[in-house]
Amino acid sequence: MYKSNIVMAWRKTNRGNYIIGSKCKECHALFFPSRTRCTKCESNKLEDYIFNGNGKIFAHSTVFYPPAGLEKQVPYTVAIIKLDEGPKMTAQVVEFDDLKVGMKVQSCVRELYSDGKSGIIHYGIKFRPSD
Amino acid sequence: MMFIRGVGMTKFGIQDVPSGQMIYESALEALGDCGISMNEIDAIVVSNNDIISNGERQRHSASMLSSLFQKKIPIVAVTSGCSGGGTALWTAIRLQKSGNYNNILVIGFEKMVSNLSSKVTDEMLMGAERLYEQSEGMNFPAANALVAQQYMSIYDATSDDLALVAYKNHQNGYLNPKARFYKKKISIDEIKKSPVVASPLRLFDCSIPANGAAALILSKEKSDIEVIGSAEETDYLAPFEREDMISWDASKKAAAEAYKQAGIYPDDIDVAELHDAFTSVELISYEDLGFCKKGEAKELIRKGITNLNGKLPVNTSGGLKAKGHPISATGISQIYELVKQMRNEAGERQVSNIKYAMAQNIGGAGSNVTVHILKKC
Ligand SMILES: [Zn+2]
Repeated sequence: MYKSNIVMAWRKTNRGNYIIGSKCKECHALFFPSRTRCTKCESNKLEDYIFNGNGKIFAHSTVFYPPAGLEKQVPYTVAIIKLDEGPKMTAQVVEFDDLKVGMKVQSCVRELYSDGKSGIIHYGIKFRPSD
Repeated sequence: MMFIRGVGMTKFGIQDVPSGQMIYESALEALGDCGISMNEIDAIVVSNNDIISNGERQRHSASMLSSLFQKKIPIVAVTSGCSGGGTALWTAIRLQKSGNYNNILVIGFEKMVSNLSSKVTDEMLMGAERLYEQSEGMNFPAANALVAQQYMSIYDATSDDLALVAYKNHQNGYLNPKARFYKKKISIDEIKKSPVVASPLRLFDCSIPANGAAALILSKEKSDIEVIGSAEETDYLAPFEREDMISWDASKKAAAEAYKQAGIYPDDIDVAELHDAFTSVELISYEDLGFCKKGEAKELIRKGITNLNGKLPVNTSGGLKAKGHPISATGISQIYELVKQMRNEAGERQVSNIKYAMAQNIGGAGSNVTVHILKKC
């Protein structure tokens, strides 16, 4: 469904800056990634939901042999973050000294990867300690 | 009543031969094993992943087999990532239950190692969730590393425990002429000092790609090997979508269903081939399959219970770790090993007194799992 809400449209074009999932209008279940149908109550009345970006480290790993495109970031740390609102997501974690399960983190915008030396730089969500 | 009449497999390794040749070789061994001809095969179930980098680009594997064997019979292709072989067998068993086919040839094949290893890795990580994981720097080892990290921190399993799994499987693979690491000695020190790929997983915690094919003949005719349990279960693709990662629902459910069909308990299993895509997966599987309580897998490996001379030998073939992991061929090769063990044809790695054997084949990081239980008649 097309939304004319200007703020929402702007946010969507800056998708990388927000953790956008969806919320069921009937049972209020939250989802990440977005869905067009609620898997809890089968409703198809869902709206975009922007997560507040706060969460905790659920599991983490530091990668030394990366997929193509991330060579210059090695080593980098990936984690499963449990968002305060409930859903989990996978993201990189940056700017930490000692990473522990349960540690509070918040989202931030960082470079994800680039298409070669002179190519487009893709930005997206990473997490950093929030304390 | 369903029986396995014959098994065959190529050596798993880096031989650069066309897939067709590997398929032929494994199928002929399986036919020869039970002394029947291709004319007695009524249907084929085949599994393959169409690896983009192997230069073959043969998507229609069903029709390819028709040409290869010059047979115009029902041929069904089943693709299911790393669990392709197990899923092909699961499918063949249901086909056979329909009553229309006497002998079904089940084949898994994969050609992986003929190109740059970066290409192969790139292919393999497609087992990870595409949209929301891969752009975050996740690949298949990283997805499994997250699982291992959580499991190890909760249950106090250590990197040394993982090394013991790798060492055990390499010792077994050393004795298996069909294994990629046959007669290649790997020390515990080499394993512990290998580079970290994605913490806590080191290089020697990861299985090794290989080329290979494996085949079996499933039949209504009585043989010495009966299939008494066959289950498949599927879970969400990405680990982050699941409640927790320390046990895999698909594995637990498939095992429970297979035990129920077989009418036996975990204690009854005498030998098992488990999906050690990563050493941590073998540990978690001990628990999911009921071989020990939750969190106690480390005791099994520390006490040598799953060693070749232990109470429950696991991965006597060397497993994915040392035998090699040609994706779709792996699940069938597990059955090959179990049949060889049950017939006392496993040479230097022979285990004694087997009545019940189990094969567990996993696709993705616990995304789908098949469990098969065999009985020696
Ligand atoms: Zn709902």
